[in-house]
Amino acid sequence: MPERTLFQGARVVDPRSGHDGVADVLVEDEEISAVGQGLAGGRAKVIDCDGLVIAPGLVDMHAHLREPGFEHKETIETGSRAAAAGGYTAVCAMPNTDPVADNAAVVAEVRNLADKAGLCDVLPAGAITRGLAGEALTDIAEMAEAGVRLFTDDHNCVQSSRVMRLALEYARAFEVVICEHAQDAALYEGWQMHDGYYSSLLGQTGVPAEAESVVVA
Amino acid sequence: MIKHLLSINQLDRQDVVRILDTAESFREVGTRVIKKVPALRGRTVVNLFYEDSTRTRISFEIAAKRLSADVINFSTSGSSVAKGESLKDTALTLQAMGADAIVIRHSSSGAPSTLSRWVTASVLNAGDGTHEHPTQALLDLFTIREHFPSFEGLRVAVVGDVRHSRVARSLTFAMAKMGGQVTLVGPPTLIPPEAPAWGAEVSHDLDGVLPKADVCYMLRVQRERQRQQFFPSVREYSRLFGLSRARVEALPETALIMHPGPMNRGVEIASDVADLPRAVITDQVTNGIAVRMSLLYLMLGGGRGADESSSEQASAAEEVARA
Repeated sequence: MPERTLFQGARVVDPRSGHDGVADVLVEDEEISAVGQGLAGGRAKVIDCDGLVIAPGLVDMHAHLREPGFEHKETIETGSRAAAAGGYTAVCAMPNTDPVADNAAVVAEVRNLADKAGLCDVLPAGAITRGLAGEALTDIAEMAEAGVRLFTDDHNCVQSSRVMRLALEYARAFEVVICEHAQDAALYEGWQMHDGYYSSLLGQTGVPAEAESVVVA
Repeated sequence: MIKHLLSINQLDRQDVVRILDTAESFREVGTRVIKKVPALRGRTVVNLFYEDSTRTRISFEIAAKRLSADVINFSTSGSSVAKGESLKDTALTLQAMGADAIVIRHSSSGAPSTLSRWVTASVLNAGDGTHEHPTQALLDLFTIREHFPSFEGLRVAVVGDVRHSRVARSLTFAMAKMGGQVTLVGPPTLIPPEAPAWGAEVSHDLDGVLPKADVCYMLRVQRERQRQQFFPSVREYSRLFGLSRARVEALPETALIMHPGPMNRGVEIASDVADLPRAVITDQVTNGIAVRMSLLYLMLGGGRGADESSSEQASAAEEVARA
């Protein structure tokens, strides 16, 4: 007899099929066997889902799990727990840890700690440049072999167009994505809010839209 | 009357007229041998200055003293601020000591507004970062009113570092409110592109603006607020936007020359120009005391109540001034 659970009356959201409405979901042996109105549960365990959402697991492309190095802020275990509680089944861990995730050893350690926590998939992102310093490329191939698919210097936007171009060219040899946190540092200096009418009125230092667009240009 | 004075934009036209009319009554007090009236006896005014200041701090101090208030001067050096006390804790301490009004100058735009949410005392903005300096604008209006019958259609050229100037903001908002026409003049790097939305015109050609100006208001080049190089050299700035003797000749004969101080003589204003009779810079200072007396008096309810009409307020102030 398979183990059956009936999730009753949830708002079922599925972008792939375009479904968004109240329905029941029947799960047998950890697999969805039926979705529909008024499903009979039989001997299934029934969970009342009134007011709740059932959706494919969410993915957080930009999470700071802070470990190693900043465990006073967050650990991989606490971050994974928060992710799972919020419906996230995968989170991408940013590389601005200490040491920086700019080599395969740190990446492996992050994976190891994530496995120990065992609450959601943790996908470590690798740094584009060593120490997030924006100067020398990291060992992208080695990290790609260790399973890294996303490379970013996070909020340390790579300021040198030359280095960024090099990274984009080099990364073409691998199945990876280079991701830039588009902020021109010089235009961001001292910023407090968006540049515009209200910043002029309030005397606050504004950051212009060009601070982003010049980086992605 | 308003509880706090944080921005000129809190005031309507009637408020401004009432403040200036009341200041008129207090102007005379400063000419007496005994320069004091009992209007705020027993009230406590704290000057909380996080930034250096000569005229504004002293002006507020004299204003409060001439109204017989007790004045506490608090500067950040030699106080717990130097030990790292936060603005909030300092504010709550002053509150606990029974301050009725807190006059604050701060390098951060918006600090007075934040302070006003923490205390029951009236907060007066004595200049916050690159935001506003409302009492300066009011004393400027008072000074202009001594020379012109109306603000309506009055053409005011505000020249210089508008971007970093809290004086320029407050004056522009105030003049726009009173029906004047402000032209902001300076290099494009020192005038926010949004300035026309403040209700002002913008020009980069001082010589084109001067012949049509009733008031030529020179701003100080604020090198301490400029994080970057906004113009190539002081020499070039002075050549393009400095008020030289030759440029004064281009002004209409009745035009006033004003400056909020402190002046960089030889940069934005030539030394001999600053000393011309039509340069009413010291009048601005004198009038600042009367305007600040007026504000403290009106905001601390020194009159017979907040709901009275402006003429009654003014006559109440006259009564106090006669006492």
